[in-house]
Amino acid sequence: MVFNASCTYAHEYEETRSKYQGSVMIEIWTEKYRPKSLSEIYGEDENIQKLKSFVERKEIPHLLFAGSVGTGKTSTAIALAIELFGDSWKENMVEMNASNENGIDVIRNKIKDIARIKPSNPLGFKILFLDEADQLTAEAQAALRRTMEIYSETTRFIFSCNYSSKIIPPIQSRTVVMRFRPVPDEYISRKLQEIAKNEGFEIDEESMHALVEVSAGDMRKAINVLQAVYTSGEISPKKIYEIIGYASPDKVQKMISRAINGLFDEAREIVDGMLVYDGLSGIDIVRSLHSYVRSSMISPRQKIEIIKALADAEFRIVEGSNDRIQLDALIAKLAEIGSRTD
Amino acid sequence: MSWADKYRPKNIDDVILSPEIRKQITDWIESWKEDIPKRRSLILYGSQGTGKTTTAYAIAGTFGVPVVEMNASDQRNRDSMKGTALMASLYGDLFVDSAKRPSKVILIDEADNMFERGGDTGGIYELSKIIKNSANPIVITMNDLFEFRKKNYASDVISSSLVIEMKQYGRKLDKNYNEFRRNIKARLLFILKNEGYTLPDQIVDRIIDRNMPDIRSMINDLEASAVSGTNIGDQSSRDVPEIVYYMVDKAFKRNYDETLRSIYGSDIDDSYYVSWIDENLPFKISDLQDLVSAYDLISYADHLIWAMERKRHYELMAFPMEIAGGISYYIQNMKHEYVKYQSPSYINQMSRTKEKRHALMSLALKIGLLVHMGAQRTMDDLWFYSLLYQKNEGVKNLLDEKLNLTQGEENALTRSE
Repeated sequence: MVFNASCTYAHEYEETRSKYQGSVMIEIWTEKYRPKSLSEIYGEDENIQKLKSFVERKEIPHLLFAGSVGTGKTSTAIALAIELFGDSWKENMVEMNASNENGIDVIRNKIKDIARIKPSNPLGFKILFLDEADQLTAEAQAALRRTMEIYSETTRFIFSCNYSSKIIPPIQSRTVVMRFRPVPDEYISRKLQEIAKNEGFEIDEESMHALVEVSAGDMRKAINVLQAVYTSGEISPKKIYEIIGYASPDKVQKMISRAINGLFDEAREIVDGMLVYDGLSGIDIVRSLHSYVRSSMISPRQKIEIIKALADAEFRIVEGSNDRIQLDALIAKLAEIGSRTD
Repeated sequence: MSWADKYRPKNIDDVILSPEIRKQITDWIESWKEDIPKRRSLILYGSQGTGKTTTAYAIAGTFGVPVVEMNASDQRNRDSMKGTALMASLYGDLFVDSAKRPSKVILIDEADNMFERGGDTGGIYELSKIIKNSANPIVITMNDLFEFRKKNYASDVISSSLVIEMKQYGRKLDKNYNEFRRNIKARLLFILKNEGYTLPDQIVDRIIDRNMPDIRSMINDLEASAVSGTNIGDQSSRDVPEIVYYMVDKAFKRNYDETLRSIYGSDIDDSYYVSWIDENLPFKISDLQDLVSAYDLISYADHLIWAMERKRHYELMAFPMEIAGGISYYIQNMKHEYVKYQSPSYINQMSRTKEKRHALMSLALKIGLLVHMGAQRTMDDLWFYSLLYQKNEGVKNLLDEKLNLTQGEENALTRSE
C-alpha cells in the first residue's frame, strides 16, 4: 500500500502547512525541548564542529544528513538555521517532507519555485530542508540536480534520509554528507534528566534504564515515551513497558500466538483488521511483530526462524508486493515454525 | 486463441470505424500507392480497446505486407530503434522491387511508454529521424498524445505525422454513436454465431453498453458469457466478471492445461487473479504442510508481479498467473467439498473503510506538520498523540485549536468509532 499524499490530500495539506508549520509547541515535549543551538545537540561532535565552522563563515554547502530515526537530523537542521538566521530562521528555512510529496512534478514545479526566490536576509541564501529525501524516486532526484546548481546562490539544500545509498550519486557528490549515529545511552538519559528537572519530577534509576532500553538510540521515541508515562501519572519500568505495548497493541501478541498454533483463519482476521481498520501498512505490521518477537519468550531456534520469515516478508513488501498476500504467507510460515518441536 | 485475437480484422474495410476516420486512413493508404507520400507516419491515439493496434495490422493487411512491431516490452533506445526500424524501412528493401513498395508496415506500439530514463534513451529522437527517411509506412500508437508530447523530440514526431484520435463518436447517441454501436452489435452476433453459441439479445446489449467504447473488452466478455454459460451481463460492475470464478475454479482442479487455457483466454489482471487465489486458499487446505507450500508458491507469484512492474521488465508478464495457477499441485490433501468462491475480502473492506483511512492519514499529515515529521512516520506514533490528546488538557486544546480537526480525524485520534 503506497501512500501518496501529494495527490490525495494535497489541498488540506497545503492549507495546514501554510497555517501551522513551525509554530512552537510547548505542550509536546519533543518540540518544547528541541535544541535551540548546535551546542545542545549531543553525541555528534564531529558533525557539529564542522557545522559551527560553516556558521562562523556565514556560508554553508548543500548538506546531506544520513541516519536512522530520532538521531537528530531535523534538530540539527533547525539549530543550524537558528544559528545562521537568528529569530527570522522560520522565514529562511522551508521544510518539506518527501514522503508526503514525492512526485516528480513537485520537484519540477514546487521546489523550483521555492528555490529561485531570493531571500531578504543579509546572508543572501535560504535553506530548503527536504526530509526523508530517500523517498524520492530516482527520476525525481535526477530532476533535482540542475535545480541545486542553478539556484545554489539563493538556496542551500539540506537533505535528510535514513539511507544515503538511496540518494543517487550525482546528488551525493553535490553535498557534504554527514552521518548520524543512534544516540548513545548516556546522552539519552542526560536529555531525559534535563526534561524531568525542568518539568519538576524525578526519574528513578530503574525507570531510566527501561526508558533508555526501549528507545534504542531514538531520541524522539525516548522523549515521547517519557511524556506518555508522565501523562499517565506513574513512572515505573512496568508502566514504560506497558506504554510500549500500547504502541504495539496486544493484537500483535494475539496474532502471533494464533499463527503459531496453526489457527490460520483467526490470525488472518486479525491482520486484516490491522490493515483495514487501523490503517497500518504491511511494513508497520511486520515491524511490530519484529519488536514483539525480539523481546518475547520463544526458544532461540524458533526466534531465529521467525525473524528470517519476517525479513523475507518485509523484503518483498518493500519491493512493492501485495501486503496482504505476503502477510498471509508469513502466517503460514509462522504456523509451520510453531508446529516444529525442538 | 481468444476470440478477440481470432476475430481481429485483417483488412481496413473490416475495422469498425467512423466514416471520418475511415476516410482519413484510406486516403493515407492510397497516398502510398503512387510514391512515398509527404506524411510517412500515422499516429493513432485513444483509450484502450479502441482499435489502434488492430487498425495498424489491418493497414498492413490491406497492403498485403507484414508488420514489424516494436512495443513497450522491447527496449527502444537509440540503437535498438536504429537497428529494427531503419533496417525495416530502408536497407531491408534493397532487394525488393521498388514497384512493390511498401514492403512492410512498421508499428511502434504504445509510444507513450517510451521512457528516456527507463532505458529508452534517444529512442524518440531516432524515431523522428526515421520518419523523415522511411520508405515504408510507420504507424505509431499511444493512449495519451499529450503525455507523449512532453517528451524530448516528440513534437518533431507529431508534427511530421498524420494524427488521428481513435474516437468513433462525439458523444453518446449522436449519429456516429448509433452507427458505431450497430456495427459492433452486428460483429458480436456474427462472432457468436460463428462459434456456435447463442446469448439473449439483452445480454449482448449490456455487454456493449458496459464496455463502450472498448471493443476488446466486449469480445472478451462475450466469450466469457458464452463459454461459461453464465450471465456475466448481469454483474453489477466489471470488477468481478464471472470469468474469475471460472478461472479460480480451474486453478483448484488439477488440470494444468485447462488452467493455462483459462488464463490465456482472459484479460484479468494478474495481481487480481493472485488475490482471488489467496482469498480462497484456506478453504481448500486441510493440513499445515499444504498451507506452507501453497503460500510459498502464491507469495512468490505475487512478488514476481511487483518485481516486474518495478523493473519495467514486462517479459515476465506471463509468469505470475501461470505459477499461481499451478496451486493445486502444491496441495496434497485438497478439501473437495463445495465452497462458493469469495471475492478478496481485503479489497472489499479496504473500499468500505476508505473514509476512515483517509481520516487517519490526513490526521497524521496535520500532526506531522506540527512535529516536523512525514505523515507515514507520524502514523507510527499516533498512539502517543492519541494518548496525550485524551489525557492532557493542554495538548487537546492545542490540537483542537491548531489543526481544525474534522469529525473523522477526531474519531481517529480518540480511537472511537
